[in-house]
Amino acid sequence: MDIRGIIKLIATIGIALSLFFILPILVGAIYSENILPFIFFDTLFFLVNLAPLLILRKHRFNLKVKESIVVVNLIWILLGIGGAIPFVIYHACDFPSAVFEAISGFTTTGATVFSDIESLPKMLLFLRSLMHWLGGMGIIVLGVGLFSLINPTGSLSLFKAESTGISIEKLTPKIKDTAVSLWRIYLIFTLCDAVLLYLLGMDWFDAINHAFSTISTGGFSTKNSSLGFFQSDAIVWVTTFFMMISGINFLAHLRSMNRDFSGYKSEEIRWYLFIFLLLSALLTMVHAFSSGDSLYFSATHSFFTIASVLTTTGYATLDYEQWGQIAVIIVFLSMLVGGNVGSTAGGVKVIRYVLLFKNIAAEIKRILHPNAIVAVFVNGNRIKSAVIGSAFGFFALYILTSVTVMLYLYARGLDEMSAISTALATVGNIGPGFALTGPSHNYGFFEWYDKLVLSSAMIIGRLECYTVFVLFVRDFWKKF
Amino acid sequence: MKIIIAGAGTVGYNLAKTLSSHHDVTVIDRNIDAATRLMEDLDILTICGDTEDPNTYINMETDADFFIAVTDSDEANIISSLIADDMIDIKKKIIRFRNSFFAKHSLKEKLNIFASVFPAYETANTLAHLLEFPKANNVKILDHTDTALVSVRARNISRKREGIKQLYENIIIAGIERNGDFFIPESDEQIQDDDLLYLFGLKEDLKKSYLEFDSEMPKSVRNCVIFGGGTLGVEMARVLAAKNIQVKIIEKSLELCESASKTLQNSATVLHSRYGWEHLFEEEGLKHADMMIAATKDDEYNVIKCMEGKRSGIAKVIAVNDDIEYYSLMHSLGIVAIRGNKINAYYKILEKIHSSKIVTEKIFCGGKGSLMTQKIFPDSNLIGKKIESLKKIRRYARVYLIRQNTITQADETSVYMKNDVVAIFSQLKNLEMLKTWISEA
Repeated sequence: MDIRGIIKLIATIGIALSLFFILPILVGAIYSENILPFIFFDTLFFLVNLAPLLILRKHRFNLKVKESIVVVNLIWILLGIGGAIPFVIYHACDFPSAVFEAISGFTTTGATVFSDIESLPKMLLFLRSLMHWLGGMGIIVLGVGLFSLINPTGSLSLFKAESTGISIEKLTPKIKDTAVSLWRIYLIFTLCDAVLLYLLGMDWFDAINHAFSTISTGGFSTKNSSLGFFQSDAIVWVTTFFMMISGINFLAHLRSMNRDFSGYKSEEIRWYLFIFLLLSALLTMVHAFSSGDSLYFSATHSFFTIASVLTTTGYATLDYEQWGQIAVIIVFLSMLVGGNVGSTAGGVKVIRYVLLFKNIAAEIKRILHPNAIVAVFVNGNRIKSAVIGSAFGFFALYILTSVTVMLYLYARGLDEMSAISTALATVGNIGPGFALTGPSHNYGFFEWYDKLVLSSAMIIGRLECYTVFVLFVRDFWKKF
Repeated sequence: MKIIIAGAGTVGYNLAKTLSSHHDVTVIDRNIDAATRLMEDLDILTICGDTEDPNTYINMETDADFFIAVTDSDEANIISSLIADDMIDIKKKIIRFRNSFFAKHSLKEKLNIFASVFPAYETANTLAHLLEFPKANNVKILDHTDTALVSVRARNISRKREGIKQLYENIIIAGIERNGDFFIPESDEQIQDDDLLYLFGLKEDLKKSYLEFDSEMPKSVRNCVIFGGGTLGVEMARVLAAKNIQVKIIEKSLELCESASKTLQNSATVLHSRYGWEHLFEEEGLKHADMMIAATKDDEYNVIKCMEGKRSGIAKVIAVNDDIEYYSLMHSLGIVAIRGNKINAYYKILEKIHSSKIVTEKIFCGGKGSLMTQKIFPDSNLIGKKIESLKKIRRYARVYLIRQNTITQADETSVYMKNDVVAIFSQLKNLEMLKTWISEA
C-alpha cells in the first residue's frame, strides 16, 4: 500500500480545506468578531498539512483501488477533526459534539447539537454552511479536479470510491473536465439561489448561508426556527424549487447546459417527481384536514416538507409532527426514498427502488410465465442481473446499518419512534427525525459516545456503506 | 489533443491507456461489455456503437486531432475513417491494415490518410534489420542517418573490467538492462555478464566491433526455421529468402500451408505438421538451423517453441510477442523478442502521434528506454545556436550530435549546424520532461 501517496493526498485535501477556511475568517472580519484564534488555527492547520506535502513533494503517487478507499475514509475523519476545532476554540461546544457537527456538515446531514444557533458567532454559522457546500458535491469530486492536476492517471479510482452512481457516467473524455463542469453548475445554482433569496428579503449573509445549505441539500440554517423564521411564502417556494433540482442527477443538468434535455426524461427523474407530487399532495390534504389551515398554507408547507425530507435536506418551517400520525408516516416514507443518483442528496435513492420494484415485477412475471424471457429495462436499456444484485445488496446493507443504529439507540434508552427516525435521519443524511430528534429539537442531548456512533452512521450513509465496510474485510488488508 | 480510437481490442486498449494520461481520448466499440470495461479502467470516454454507422458520431464533439482505426477488419477501418471524417472535423487519420495491398502508398493518398500502419510489414522489416546484425537482439535504424541502435547480450567479454568509456572508441553504450532494470550508464560503469547492452554508433563501426560482445550467437545466418505460416510467417520468409537464406516454414493448418506455399512458391519449403513436429526435427534436420523464429499468434506457444529450439541446439531463437509483460522473462531465457502485430501497431501508432516532422521518437527495451531524434533542417531557426539549457536535462538524458557521419556527445558549447541530427537517449519515464525541453529550445 502506498502510504506516502495516501498521506500526500490527504495533506493536499487539508491544504485545500485550510484555504477554504479563509472564507469564514473573512466573514468574521466583516462582522468584526474575534478572528485571531481562528486565524491561528487555520495557519497551524495549513502548516501541519504543508509539512508532509513538502517532504513528499517528489513522491509520485498512483492510487489503486485499495488506497483510494483508505483515502476516502481517512478524508472524512480529517474533515471531522479539521471542521470541529473552530467550534472548540470558540467554546461553542465540547470536542465530540464539534466532531458531530462537522461531520453532520460535511455529510450534508444537517443535524445540529446547538439549541441556540443564533447565539453562535457569524463566522461559525458560515463555517457550518460552508462545510455543507463543500461536502455536498463531494469533497472528492472537488479533489478530482484538483488532483488530476498533480496526478493525471490516478484520479479515476478515487472517483469510483466516492461517486455514488450505479455506474459511472461521463460526458467528457477526462473525468477532470466532468468534475469541473459539475462544480460550475453547482456554483451557478448556488448563486441563483442566493440572489433570489436576497431579492425576497433575506440579508446577504442569510441568503448565502441558506443557498449553500439548500444546493448541497444539507439543512443547517442560521436561525433557530430554520426557514420558518422568515415568514415568507416566496422564500419557502424558492427553497422548495432549489432543493428539488439539487436532488436531480447533476449530469442531467450538465447535459441541459448543452441544450440536451433528454437527461430529464430518465425514469429515475420521472419517478422522483411523481413521488414528490404524490406525497406532497397527500401531506397537504392531511395537513389541511388535521390543522384547519387554509389549503394554500398547507400546500406551501407540505410541499416544502416533502422536498426537504425527500432530498435529505432537513429544513423545517413547521413541526410536521403536529399534523397527526398519518402525516408522520408520509414524511417517514419520503425519508426512506432519497434523491437521485449523481445528486447531492443522500438516502437509498430513487433509481434503486425503480430497480427493486421492476425486478419484483419481473419475478412475478416469471412465476406466471415460466417459459418467458423476462428482463428488467430501465430507460430502454436492459439491466444486467449483477447491477440488480448490487442494488439489492446495497438496500439490504443500508437497512441493516439503519437497524443496527436503531437498536443501539433503543438500547441507549430512546423511545421507538426517536430511535427509528434518528437512525434513518443520520444514515440517510437527512438531519431531523421524529420525537426527540424532531424538527423542533436537536442532537445536543446525546452523550459523547452516542455522537461518535451517529457521526460514523452519517459517514457510512454518505459513502453508501460499501466504501466503509470494505475496510472490515480481512482480504482488504492482505498483501496477497 | 483530442483522439478518437475506433476499436477497443488489445491495440485500442493499450493506445487508450497510454494516451489518456495526456490527451482526451474517446473510444468507440460496438461491444457494450468491452466499452464498459474500458470506461471503468481508464479515464476516457467510451461510446458504444458501430464505427461504420454515421449516427455513432452525431453526439460527439465536432473536432478531433487524430482518428485511429484499429478494428479487426481493414474494410471497417477504411469506411469508419471516411465516415468519421465526414461527420467530424478530423485533422489526421491513422489506420491499421492487415492486408498488405491496403498499405500501398497510392491508396493512402487517395483516402487522405496521415499514416497507415501495416504491422506485419513492420515486423518483417525489423527482421530484415536484425539480419544485418545477426548477433543482435534488436536493431533500430535512425532516420536521416547511417547510425543504428543495436542491443546485444554481454557474454564472455574479456575487457569488461575497464569502465565502458575506454572500451570502444566509436561505439556509445546508450543503455544497459541489468536484472530487469534499464539505466543509462555513467562512463565508469563496468559491464557485467548477461547485461543487455544498447550500442549506438555508425552502422559500419557497429558491424565491426559488436561481434565480440556475444560469442555464442552465430556470426551469420544461412538457414532458418519459422513456426507459423500465417501472414507474419510468410512475410518473414519472404524477407529471409530475399537475403538468400534457406527457409523452412512449419504450420499446423493445411489451409495456411497451401496458401503459404502458393505465395512463397519455391523460395521456401512449407512443412505441414499435422502429426506433431518432433519427427520433423530429425527428418528435416531442423536442429542444424542457425536461427529459429516462432511466429504463431499464440505468445505462450511461441515462447515454449523457442525454449524447445534452444534446448535442441539452435543458438538464435526469436519469439514474436504481443505482450510487453513477457519481455523481461524472454530476455532472461535468452530468447530474442520481436514485436508482434498488435504491439507493433501500438508502438507504431504511438510513434506516429508523438513524432512531428522534425522530432521522431523510438521506444526500446520493452518500453523502458526512449530515443528521440531531431533533424535540424536547413530552414531551422536553431542553426548557429548553442545548446545552453543542456544542464537542465543532464541528469536525465544523454544528448549526441550526428554530423557528417561522426557522433559527438553534446555539451553546453556545442552549436547546432545545418543537417545535424540530435539524438537524445533517456528512460521513458523522463520523456515528457525532455519533450518540454525540446519545445522550449
